[in-house]
Amino acid sequence: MKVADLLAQRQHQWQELEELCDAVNWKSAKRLGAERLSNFAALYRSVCADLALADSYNLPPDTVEYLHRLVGRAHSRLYRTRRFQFTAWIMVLTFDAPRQILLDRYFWFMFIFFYGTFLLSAFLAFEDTYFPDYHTQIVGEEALLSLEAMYTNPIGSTESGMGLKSDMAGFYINHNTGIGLVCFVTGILIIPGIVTTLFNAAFLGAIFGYMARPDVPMTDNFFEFVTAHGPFELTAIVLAAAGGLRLGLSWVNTKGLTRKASLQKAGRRCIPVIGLSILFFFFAAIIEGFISPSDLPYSFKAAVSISSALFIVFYILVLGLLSALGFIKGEQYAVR
Amino acid sequence: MQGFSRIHKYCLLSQEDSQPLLFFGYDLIEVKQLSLTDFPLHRIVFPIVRNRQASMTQDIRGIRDAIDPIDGTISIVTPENITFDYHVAGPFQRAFAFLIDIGIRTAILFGLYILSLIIDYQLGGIGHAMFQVVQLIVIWMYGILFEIYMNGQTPGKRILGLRSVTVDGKPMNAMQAVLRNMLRMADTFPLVAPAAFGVNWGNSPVFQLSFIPTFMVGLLVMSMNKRFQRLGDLVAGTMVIVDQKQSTQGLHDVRHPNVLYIASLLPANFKPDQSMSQALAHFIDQRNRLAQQRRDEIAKHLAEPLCKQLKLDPNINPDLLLQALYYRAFVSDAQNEVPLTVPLVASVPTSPIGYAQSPYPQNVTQPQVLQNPPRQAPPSRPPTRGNIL
Repeated sequence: MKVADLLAQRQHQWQELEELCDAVNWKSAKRLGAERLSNFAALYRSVCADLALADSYNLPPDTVEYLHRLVGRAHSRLYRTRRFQFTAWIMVLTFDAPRQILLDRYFWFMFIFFYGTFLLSAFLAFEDTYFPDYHTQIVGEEALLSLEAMYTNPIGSTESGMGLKSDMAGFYINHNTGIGLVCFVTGILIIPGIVTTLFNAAFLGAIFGYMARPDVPMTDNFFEFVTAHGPFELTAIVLAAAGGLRLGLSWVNTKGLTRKASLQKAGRRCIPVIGLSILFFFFAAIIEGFISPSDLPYSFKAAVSISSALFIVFYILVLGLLSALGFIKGEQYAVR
Repeated sequence: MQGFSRIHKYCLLSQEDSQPLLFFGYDLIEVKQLSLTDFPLHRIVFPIVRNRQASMTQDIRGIRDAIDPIDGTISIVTPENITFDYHVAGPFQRAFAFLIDIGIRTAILFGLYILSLIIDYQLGGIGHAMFQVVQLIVIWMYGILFEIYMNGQTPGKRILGLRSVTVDGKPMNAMQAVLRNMLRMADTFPLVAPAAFGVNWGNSPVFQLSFIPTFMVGLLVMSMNKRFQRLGDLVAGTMVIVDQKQSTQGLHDVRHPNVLYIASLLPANFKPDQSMSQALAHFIDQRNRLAQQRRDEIAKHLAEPLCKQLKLDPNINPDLLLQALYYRAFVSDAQNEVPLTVPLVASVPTSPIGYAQSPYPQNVTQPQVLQNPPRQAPPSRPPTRGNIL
């Protein structure tokens, strides 16, 4: 059979599949009707057959290219992304993620590294006899001044200080999330990751230590603001940095895999850490948005802080231990 | 420019293997030593040079390599046991889709901000805090939710006809969508502060903070792998493919009287083999873009040896000869070639212009022989794209 005849015979089928592809893309598949939809699969298979026989038909390259595109279009419409499986994800988040985090040495390294640096830096900034200038060296004069200006007025009042804060709050939340992200992303390059985490721990520690000094006037306002969302936010930074470190070391120490495969494996392994980090940033943002700047009593904010810290401990230590010792199992809910 | 590269390739590959291959000034042997397939930046530098070694090994194995280094296609085997090609989307196609997404996202955020102002005005205070939370959700979940629920597409990708799939061409799962969208942040690095561009109005601390993405990491990683995967794609095992329809297909109408006449001169038992007919089709696809001199020049490579082999008049216009060969290969049998009176295909359902409405005279009793082709006036032809079978 000549190519011209063959094309004349086939083209209306191709055209029909083309139209169906367009329709499926923009309309809900249900509205097309069962008859047309079942036709889709049959047409797709026949076009697949045409493409498979293109060489023996000796179709011109333009047509072969067209068939490739058409089969590709139909293929990506026929086989669809699985929907988000909420049950499975919640199960994984409840049972598998705590165990993985508990057994994650990168997490514990970063945990000790971050909080160790944080506490050391806070102590150095707090101690004004031996290291009087530590906080200005780390934080910088300008940042200190703007911090002091920010926390001069009491929290929850409608005075200029917190009014400004309220306007900038969204920006600062993004900025804080940004710190975690920077720790994560630079972690892929190992050394910059460790340096970034170190710097952020030292920076935040210096601010906390300086603000805790008895001679600093805005102490109360500062702690009233940061107490409530502190645990979630700091832990989220640790989690993000741990995920970054895992990715970074994965392409250096590949354990016999290719670098790409090792990176992909580490990517799958660091999903719980990163997911939890994002969740914690989100909790912190909610608290920072609603509770921290409000005029609720300090005792309430402290209670929020303590309960969130207890939640973190419960989640990682208690749930993690129970899962690691085999008392609770989430494996039957495999996320795909 | 694929057309004449295939013609050249056809001529080159049908010659002796040991012969040095000079092609557009680049020595193919040298190109092979650099092993440029490992580093697809050469697609930008050498857009036409095909790695000959690669194509040879493909021929030996009898299967096509998964990734074509030149055309940027990737072969997918479907459950129906069919192999087809996807075009991998390059960084600049994806950048425009991303810009559209950024625009849509910003519009959503702006609408939410207006809403929060209204809530603020009505209820006081709470709107802004709500906006902060919703803003985070929108920024983080935009790509993830759209890619899960729109089958690998965001609105920007759908408008531009792109789609993200796994590296083996399957649909992504939710995990992959989460991973590749979360890691987009890594690809935006390094971030630059507006102050670096001298934007520093009123010395606001906002301008000192680095938040403008430069996407240098993403671009670098993309240029170093064959599927144009950014870092997030590599970790998630996904890639972005082109999911557009192609408008042209079918055969070109070459039935000019002169072409038909030359086709009748061809020996009745001569039929171009498959690789030659593919090369011919490439040439016919591209010839409308070329001037007559260039057409002749390209066609000459194939026409001259063929004239000798088929003992044709060496003065036949090479362009017309190739069209006649195309006609012989795809449209007609040798029997009904001279002189054509009946339209070959009576009605074509898909195209408004078929052979039935051909602008050329159907009854050619006295075809004129073109010994020397008219330089000044190439036969006026309808635009190819509209005139397909």
